[in-house]
Amino acid sequence: MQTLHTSIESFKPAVRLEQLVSRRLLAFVRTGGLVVCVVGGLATAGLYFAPAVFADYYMYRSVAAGVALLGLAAWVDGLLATAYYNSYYFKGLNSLVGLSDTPIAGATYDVAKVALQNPQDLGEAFVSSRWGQKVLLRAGLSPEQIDTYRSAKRQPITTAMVPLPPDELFSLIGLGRYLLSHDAAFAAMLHDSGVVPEHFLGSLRWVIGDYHQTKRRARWWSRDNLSQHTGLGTELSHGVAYELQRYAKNINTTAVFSTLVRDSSFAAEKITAIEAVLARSQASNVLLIGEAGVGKTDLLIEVKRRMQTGQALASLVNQHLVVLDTARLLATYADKQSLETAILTLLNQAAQAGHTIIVIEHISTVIKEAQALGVFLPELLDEYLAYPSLHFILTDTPAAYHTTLQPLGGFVRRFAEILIDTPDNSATVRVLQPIAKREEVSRALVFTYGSLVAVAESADRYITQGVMPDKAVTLLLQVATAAQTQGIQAVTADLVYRIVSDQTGVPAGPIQAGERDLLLNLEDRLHQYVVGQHTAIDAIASTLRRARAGIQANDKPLGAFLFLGPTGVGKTETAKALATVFFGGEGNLQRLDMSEYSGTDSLARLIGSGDSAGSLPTLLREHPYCVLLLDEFEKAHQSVHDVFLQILDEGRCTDGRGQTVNARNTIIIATSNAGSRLIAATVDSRRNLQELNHSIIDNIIAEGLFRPELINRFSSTIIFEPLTIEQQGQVAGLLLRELQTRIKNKGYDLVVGEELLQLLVQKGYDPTFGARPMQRVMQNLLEERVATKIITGSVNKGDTISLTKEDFTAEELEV
Amino acid sequence: MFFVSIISDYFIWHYTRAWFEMWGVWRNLLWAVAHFFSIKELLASLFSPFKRMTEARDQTFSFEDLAEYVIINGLSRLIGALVRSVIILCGCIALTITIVGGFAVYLFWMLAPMLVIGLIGAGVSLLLI
Repeated sequence: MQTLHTSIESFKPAVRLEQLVSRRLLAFVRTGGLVVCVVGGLATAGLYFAPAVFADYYMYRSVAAGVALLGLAAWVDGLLATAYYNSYYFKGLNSLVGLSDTPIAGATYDVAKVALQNPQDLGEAFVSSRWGQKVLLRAGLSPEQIDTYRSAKRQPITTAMVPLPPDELFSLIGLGRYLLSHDAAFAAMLHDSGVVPEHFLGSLRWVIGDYHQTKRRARWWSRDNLSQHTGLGTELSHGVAYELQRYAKNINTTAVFSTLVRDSSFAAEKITAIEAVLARSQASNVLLIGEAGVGKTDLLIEVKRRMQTGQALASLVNQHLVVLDTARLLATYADKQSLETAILTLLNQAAQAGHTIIVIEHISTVIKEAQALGVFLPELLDEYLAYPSLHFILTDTPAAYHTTLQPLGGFVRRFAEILIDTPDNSATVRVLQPIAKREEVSRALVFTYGSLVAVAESADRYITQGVMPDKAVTLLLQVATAAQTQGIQAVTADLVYRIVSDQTGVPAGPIQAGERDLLLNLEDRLHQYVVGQHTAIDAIASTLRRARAGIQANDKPLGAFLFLGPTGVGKTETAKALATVFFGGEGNLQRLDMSEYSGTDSLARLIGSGDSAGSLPTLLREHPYCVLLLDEFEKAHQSVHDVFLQILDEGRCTDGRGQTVNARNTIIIATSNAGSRLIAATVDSRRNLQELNHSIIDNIIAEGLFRPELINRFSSTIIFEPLTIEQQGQVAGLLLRELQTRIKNKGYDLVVGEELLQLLVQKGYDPTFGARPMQRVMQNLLEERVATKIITGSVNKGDTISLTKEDFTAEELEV
Repeated sequence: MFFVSIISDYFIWHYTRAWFEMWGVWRNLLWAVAHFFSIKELLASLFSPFKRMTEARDQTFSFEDLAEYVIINGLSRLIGALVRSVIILCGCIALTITIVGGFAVYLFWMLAPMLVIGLIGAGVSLLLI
């Protein structure tokens, strides 16, 4: 088996040459030699052919000729040395960048260059090399951590110990991988620095992949570089569609997708699909469906590039892809007749010219705008869809597709639909890499690989508006701006999570000290607002801890609870407490009274239809990070329950306009009085309520209030017990404190005697209606009496209002 | 020793692998020239109407219409063929230059080491005169 030691032997002379004469010096020798040769040659020519003019210097003619010849020798020598060096430097590059499938084995020049620095200790050679340091910096390691590795006692890996794969090149990526899996000290360095192997490998692919692309661009004589220009005679061999040219526009793009397009199997698959449809003899028109920002235009740019450079399918090479500027076309013509004539002329010319692919973006909008002038565009296009010399690519969003295009039926069936999904997080990270590099240059920053992963994950999880990768790009730019403003040079995952948390109000990323305390003591914090209900509070706290620790699936809401129990036992109060503790304020509690959605039209009112936005999508879009309280959930219509099946399962739903609404950053709490009688009976018979949990749920299912699949989708079904008189006393204490705070804000102090408070508790206690009667007693007696004192002027601002049993009549306090 | 190994490796490369690599570059350049002038496409559509500009015939027969059709389409094809021929000719010249240039580069390459030695020798001798 070939080892690294034997493979790098052949590179030794070239590497030594580079050590002796750098590439930069070689370039200087070439240029300098040429300049000297030309100057010397001109001087020689002048002295030989115009001796009279340069009479005083005539004796230097041999010197000038000698200098010219030596300059020429230097130039030729420089050329030969560069060619020799390049032969090794670019060896196997086609295979590395995916331009050739021919298997080539052995090490690359760069590996040889690194390994020859220290063949007896590859780890040292790697971390001290330019690329190794860049990779480790991107992975998030500091120079001190690298120094610790270098100075540590370890078992070095030599070049003779590294076996090379028999059928693929061993690049720096391979070397990094080998060190990670075989050098325990190297793996420990990463582990101790908190760098996970995936992030190191991602950094490796980023740095070395970029370097390979730089090499690829430098090799101007390769076929892919020489084929960048459109052929001179292409236009002459086809016709010209003058009207189409008049309304053509350049494809504009953020160009962020280009990297993804070229190295992603996802994009390659879509491009192949587009080309396959366009190359058909019939029905060769494409309808690209994808959210705005998902990269439809970028895919078209790549298709166009492949057609121009001869990489596309043979029948598509040199096809002319034109994007129609529909805004200008529609703005030019004010009436139906002239617009129809213009469109028909344009299409006729294009069909006659042949080799034309017309791209119409946002087709549903164009159809609607044309319709406003009385022109039905699908009808005009219909005839031309069958022409073999003319193809169409239409683009639109899924929502518009459902609402506008699908109802057209036959028209849509003449297109092959290609759905462009949002790329996954790893593909998004690759999209972010070139943008991060651009931001690094313009803002003097360094992005770690982990920070890009954090951006992709956070954008996916916490940014509810927009689609990937577009929203990830936006977040990256926000992070770059924030880092520059705050004077931070190294953008890490922690910084990204901090910015996301500040922006959304939802804790993101690793759990920090303050938040750790909150999560560990969540029960105590919730009990400050909710009396009793220990089992319920424990279940909620456990679920939220799991969600925050990242153990819970990301594609569901943060938590989903079904609160069952009689009225006035603290279900709503628990929801309010959760909004206060978890989201920082009661204002983050959003309530939907589900009894309003019990009619047959309730689904349309909830999720919207046609032009009207539903209450749920509106609420979720305006408050993506909240506790969503669904009061009296059992009263909602069956179709509404079905919507929540999807929300609880996938953390999102589709509104009436076909747009996706994200509910993954919400805690959903559905409350219901269902089963109250059974709960009360259970409590009366002094049986343990939690033991009867299943029979209570079975009973609810048997009554047909909830279907089993709906109940199953909640993280927990929590049964709230009726309050005991002691707990009612605590509730009274809480209500009194609230009242005291309100009165304090008005400038008075309130003191209530203990004996009076006990009487009020007894008066307000009602096991059937829970804490509600207590609230009424407090309102009717205490608040009323305080209000009377303030209005009659018997107390002044700053006074203490004392209320005792004696301030009330016996009837008033009668139980 | 170092220099000896570099120089010996260089000479082996210069007269073996370098020839194949030069052939690869030469082939790419020939392809690029043919691609740039679109010679294949132009030959395939040599007698097509210029920019596909043609005159359609009326539904009813008339000699005037027929004459117009024949003359205009004939002219269009003639102009198309002329323009394409010019481009093809330019492409052929460029291809010829590339082919001849390739042979010249091979010749230069074969003699290059001696040329360098010769140039240095001649240059130094001229300086010493």
